[in-house]
Amino acid sequence: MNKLNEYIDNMFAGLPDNDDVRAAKQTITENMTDKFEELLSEGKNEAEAFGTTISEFGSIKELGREMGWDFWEAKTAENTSAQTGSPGSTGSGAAGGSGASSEQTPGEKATEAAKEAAVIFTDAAKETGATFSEWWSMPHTRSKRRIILTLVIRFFVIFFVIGLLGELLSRESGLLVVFSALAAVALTFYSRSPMRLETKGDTATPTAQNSASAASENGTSTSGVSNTNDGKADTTTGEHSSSKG
Amino acid sequence: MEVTLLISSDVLRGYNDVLILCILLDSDSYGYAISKEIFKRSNSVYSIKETTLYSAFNRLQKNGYVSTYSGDETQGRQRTYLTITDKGRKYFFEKVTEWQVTKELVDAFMPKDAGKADR
Repeated sequence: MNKLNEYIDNMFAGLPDNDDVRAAKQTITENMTDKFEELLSEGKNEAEAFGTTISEFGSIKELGREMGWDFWEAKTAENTSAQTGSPGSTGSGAAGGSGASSEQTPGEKATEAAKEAAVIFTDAAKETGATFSEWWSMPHTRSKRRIILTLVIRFFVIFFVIGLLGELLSRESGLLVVFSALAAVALTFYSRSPMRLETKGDTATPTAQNSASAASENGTSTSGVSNTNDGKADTTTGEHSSSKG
Repeated sequence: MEVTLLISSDVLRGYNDVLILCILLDSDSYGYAISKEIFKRSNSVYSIKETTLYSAFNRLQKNGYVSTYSGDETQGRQRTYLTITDKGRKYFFEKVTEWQVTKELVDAFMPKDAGKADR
């Protein structure tokens, strides 16, 4: 039972802590607990019951999209849970579910993992205030490119404004250029790390949107089993279905 | 012979709500019982996912088609029951009519032996 609760906790881990999410989590936990206990009462062992139960979870990404929750954070949670035991890794066989599955090449997996890591790091950096060099070492996501562009534009705007003001007051052109450049650099990075820019709606899109963009660059998620994908982005629900002929 | 199919999300998406309302027409019910009933009535063909089920519950509630109440405590837990509203009944029968029309329309384009097609 603890394992099931841990699984559900992981699935919801990246979502915002609000009433909607808590209500969804509670309802889904109740339903999954009912199923788990029924399977145990039917004589299944705990591992089988767990596998079957989590194979019926579905897609947290799809739920997040439907409910208007933060899509990216939901995706992060989905990946985190995949490391601890996803429907794709343990559930499909136990469920006796359909055999159709999506495969990723090792290269695609590595790329996706790197991009996910980048955004996870960005989220973490926002909280912990990671250094510029740490942020710079992250893989280049759309979010990161946008921030860099913002900084460059900010630098040049400040440079020219200071230069223009200096021109009105002084004729020392060489000194003025050096001073303007230094002042522009200082003001560009003044009091905030690049990551902080992500929370400023006027200078960069919010983290969620950036992250969603980064995630969308990866294409649709593939869990390795059809049962976990019932998202709109895919053409199939992955809802288990079979017909007898 | 058992043939595995994947149902297109677009086909079924609009009808999850109808399946749930149909079950609630008979009696009030709660999450897992509804999920089991869908599986049973579909002759073990369709197993709805938890997240899909919750999305449908939320949508039905927002639209005023169902309301909820806390039921008696069973097995140490108090379950939330769903009950269909008058608005929900009306919506259900509208969807039934819509389905008949849709079915006839799509059937007109299907081969006569579509159901027996060998995959």
